[in-house]
Amino acid sequence: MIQLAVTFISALFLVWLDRKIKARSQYRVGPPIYQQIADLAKLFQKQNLRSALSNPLMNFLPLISLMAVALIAYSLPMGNLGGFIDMISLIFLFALTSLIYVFAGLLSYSHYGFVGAKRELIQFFSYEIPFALGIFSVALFYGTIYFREPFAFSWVLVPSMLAFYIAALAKLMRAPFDIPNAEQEIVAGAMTEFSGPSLAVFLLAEWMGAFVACSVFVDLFLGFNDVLVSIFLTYLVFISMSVIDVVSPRERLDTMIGIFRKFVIPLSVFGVVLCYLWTL
Amino acid sequence: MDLIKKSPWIFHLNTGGCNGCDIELTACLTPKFDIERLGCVMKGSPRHADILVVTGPVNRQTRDKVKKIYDQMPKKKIVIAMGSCGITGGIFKESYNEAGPVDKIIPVDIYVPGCPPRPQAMIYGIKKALEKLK
Repeated sequence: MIQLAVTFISALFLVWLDRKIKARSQYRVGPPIYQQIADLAKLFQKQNLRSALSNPLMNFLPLISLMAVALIAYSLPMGNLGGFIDMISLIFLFALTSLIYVFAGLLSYSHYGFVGAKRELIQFFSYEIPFALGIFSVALFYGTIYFREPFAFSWVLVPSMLAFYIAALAKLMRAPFDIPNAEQEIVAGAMTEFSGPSLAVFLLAEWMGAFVACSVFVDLFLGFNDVLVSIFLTYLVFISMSVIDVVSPRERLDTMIGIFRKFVIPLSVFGVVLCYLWTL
Repeated sequence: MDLIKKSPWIFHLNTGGCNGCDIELTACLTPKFDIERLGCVMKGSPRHADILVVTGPVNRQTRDKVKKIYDQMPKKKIVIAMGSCGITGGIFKESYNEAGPVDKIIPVDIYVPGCPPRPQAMIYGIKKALEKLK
């Protein structure tokens, strides 16, 4: 339960920090600290519109996404708080949030939604392999699929760690891989048709998902048996992603696939082979 | 605390003006004025937005589109007519193609006069709009 509270508060704080970093890098002032709470509260007060052609199931999708993210957050180790998740559920729940995004685009019956869903699906098939292999290599190295406590840092896991980090960038739709919700091209991708409370839940799921992915990264690869150190490292990972987001331009869809096929997937396969050879 | 006033999201629509107002509205996002410190964000989708900023007179081609976009915005919405053209028709008034000023097509809450209005005037207009949004 503490993990869930930490995730919720940290997500609101870190997304504000992300916007602030972006603003300060452009010599702007940036939003005040309560901005994310204000955004959410405002969206909950608004009307929930849905176009007549869209599928009524559309309104449930954000809830499923939020529940999946909250389930991961609830059962994460996060230092010594004691998790009870295993790695297969972890891969499944993370994949579920991505697929919900795809379904949201398809069911909302909007051209921007279709294009966003298509792009997310293409990106999904690129990043899911290094993402899952990164988790798998840790399981191979330590010989367990249970994720009850953080795993210590090891040099053997560095290739998998790099591949996992880049895959997480693509999963969280951070630049240079913010192709599915590129605002200048396709408005807001799959979220274009969502308004009011359902948009608020969707955004909350996205923000919490960003924190959870960073936390999983820390617990898998840089584990420390202490809550505060773990949360501090998670913040650092999130801020490093924000900085990358600020300084990098957006990849095209084909160059993104090229990066993953030529660099990230071979790197993660190399990481798995290394782990396997090390444990022989 | 009325949090809705703290996060107005703007959708910008040019209905046939000369692009001068658009540039002044975009100037609100620049380091000098930076409306994000008031919580404003420019959104690409009318479904996310609270404030519709219309620049330019409505012409016969955009008349239906303005109505459609107004209907696509969720309730508790504010419309700002920006610039002389949006308010009266400006130099396009009584032209063969003009369908009327903005308030003839959709209800307008705030008028920001000027040709084009300065970014300060626009920020003041947004602030006035938020006072109206109870």
